[in-house]
Amino acid sequence: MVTAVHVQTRGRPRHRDYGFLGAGPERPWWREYAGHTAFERPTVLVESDGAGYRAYLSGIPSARRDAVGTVIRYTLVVEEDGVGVPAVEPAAVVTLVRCWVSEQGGPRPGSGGLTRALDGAFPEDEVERMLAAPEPVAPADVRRRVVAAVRALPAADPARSGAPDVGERDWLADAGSAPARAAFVRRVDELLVDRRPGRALLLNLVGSPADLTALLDDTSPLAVIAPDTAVAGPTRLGRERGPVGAGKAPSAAPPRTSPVISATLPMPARTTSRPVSRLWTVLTPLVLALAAVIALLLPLLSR
Amino acid sequence: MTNQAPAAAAGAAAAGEDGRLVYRIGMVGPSRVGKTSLITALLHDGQRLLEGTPISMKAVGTATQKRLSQHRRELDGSLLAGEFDAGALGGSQDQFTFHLMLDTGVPGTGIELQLLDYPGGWLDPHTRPAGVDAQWEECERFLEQCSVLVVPVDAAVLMEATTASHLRAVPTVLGTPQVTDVVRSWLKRRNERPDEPALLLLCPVKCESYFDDNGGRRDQSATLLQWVRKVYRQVVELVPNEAPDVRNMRVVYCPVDTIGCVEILRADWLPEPDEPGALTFVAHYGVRPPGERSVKGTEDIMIALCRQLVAGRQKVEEREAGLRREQADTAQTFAERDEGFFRNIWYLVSGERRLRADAARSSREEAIQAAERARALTGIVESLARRVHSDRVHQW
Repeated sequence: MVTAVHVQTRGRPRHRDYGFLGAGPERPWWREYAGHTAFERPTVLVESDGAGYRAYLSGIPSARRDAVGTVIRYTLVVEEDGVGVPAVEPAAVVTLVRCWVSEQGGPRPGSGGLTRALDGAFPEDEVERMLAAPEPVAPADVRRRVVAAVRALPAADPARSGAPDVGERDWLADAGSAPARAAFVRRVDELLVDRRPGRALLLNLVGSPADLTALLDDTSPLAVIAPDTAVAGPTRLGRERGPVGAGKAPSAAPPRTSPVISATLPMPARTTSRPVSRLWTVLTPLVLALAAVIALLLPLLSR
Repeated sequence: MTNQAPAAAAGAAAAGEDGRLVYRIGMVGPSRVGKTSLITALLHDGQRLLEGTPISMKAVGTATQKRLSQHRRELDGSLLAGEFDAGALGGSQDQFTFHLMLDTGVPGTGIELQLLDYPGGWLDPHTRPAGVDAQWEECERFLEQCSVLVVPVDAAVLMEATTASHLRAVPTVLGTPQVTDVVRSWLKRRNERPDEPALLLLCPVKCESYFDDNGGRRDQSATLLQWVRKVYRQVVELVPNEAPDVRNMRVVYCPVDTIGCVEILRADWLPEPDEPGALTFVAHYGVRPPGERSVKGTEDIMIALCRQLVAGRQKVEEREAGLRREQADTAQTFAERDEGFFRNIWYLVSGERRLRADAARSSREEAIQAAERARALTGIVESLARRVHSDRVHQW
């Protein structure tokens, strides 16, 4: 398998909950971002190691509703190992991302293109049939339908035309900004078409650069857009490393249960300078020895 | 910002970051019952209860803050549009741990509440999607470690079941067999900590149409109570049977108006395709003018939680204060210990004696601070204990 395409959605009946049409991905790698995004809301995760890539798009609404009237969503996962001829052109995945990201700037005329395309490729009765089928849906069938959905998407200018180059390796920008979205799609194009290593993420539980510290990686440049962020424009992400919450003051308290009290007590810094300290080290034994001799001799002399 | 519970937070209460105490609160309910709405209401309204006290309640971390604000925004938009459709609020697709903080204002003395939310469909092995078994196991572990278990119940399902076929569908819609199983596992685990107080909260939600104390037109509270007793009888009966060793186990009934300004207009019991005899419940709500959210009942949850949680905190603080005191005493003894004539002179000259005295003083100060924190929290415990539950609450 060169390219794997997976689609997750649900059926109308209560018992037909979210599941992949056919076999799902081998590993839910997107869960690594569970602390940074709510998957039921618009999310895009694109990762490339320079050879292969994987992409995850979720929160895509369908026109379908479940039994209690809740909007049904789609999740798309595309994984390519970089070996052989791709079954889905990387440019097609860029188109999917471009379409989904372009809808994150708020409601506007013509939005919902991805919803219409996917609903067209996955009609309600066929989705119900696929979810209820005792045998898994053939991967080729799912792939064919996704490719058909991409073809139904509105054509666009090449991804990079007019897209600004942020000029930073790691950056965060607000998803509500059109230039930021264009820069994001440009980065996705670089990752998938030019096969550059890195990541491009649309995350919805991120508010500031500090929230992304744990995702920084020297070997994988990071471009992030997020709704309702505290940043005005594309903002360079810090180079600090460490887990989220790093930077907190280390506890000054000693271990509570240490039996060696001298090792656990906080010792104030010595204020004596080093040369003086050395002098003391030499003189003190001499003075003490002299004192001891006097102390021993004094009773004898006093007799 | 992390969705993973701190590793140190094993058990019902444990020390988290900055020495703060971490409590895990479990929720068990079917899909779309309103778990996220209840958490949002808890944060929103819990602050009102704590007004005038040194404690405040806040969301911790960007992820929790954004999750709650997204949910509130959807809800507010729905109310502004003049119609409320419970189905319009998207359900959870993945597990998520909400981090709320009962903050005393003194660094390191807060209590962090971790509430686990997850797709209700995961409760039922038949509807659980393939590939989430590992995640569900994580949820089960979390639930078993909680000292508080909240069971949200869709009040409308109980109150709008008017025919025999409706009633037959109620256990399926409310997922009572799965809820019972989770409660049973939780109770069994409580036996391992018999001295730890435990709390089982039965929380009917979306109750605004059945109480007349929050803008509602009719009082059907007695009927609701009766139905909850009947449908959850098995759950309540499990308590003495499955957790006989737990000395301080409470079962509290706390109905909540999660929105407050809505009124049920119509309830539909729709046949499920492919499942003969099975019904799906759909409620349609209208918004009462002026359409402002008016949560009620979360105060009672907060009182029940705070009595338990702050009492637990008090115990930990007292233990810590005792340890610090012990440490200070040892440090003092060490500082004043007779080391023999020559060594005493040597320590005096080299400054070692002064260092020991400084260390003892520092340890003593920490002990005093710990004792003060324990005293402050004792005061808050007493203050919260004086508050009385509303007439809605029943304790079994």
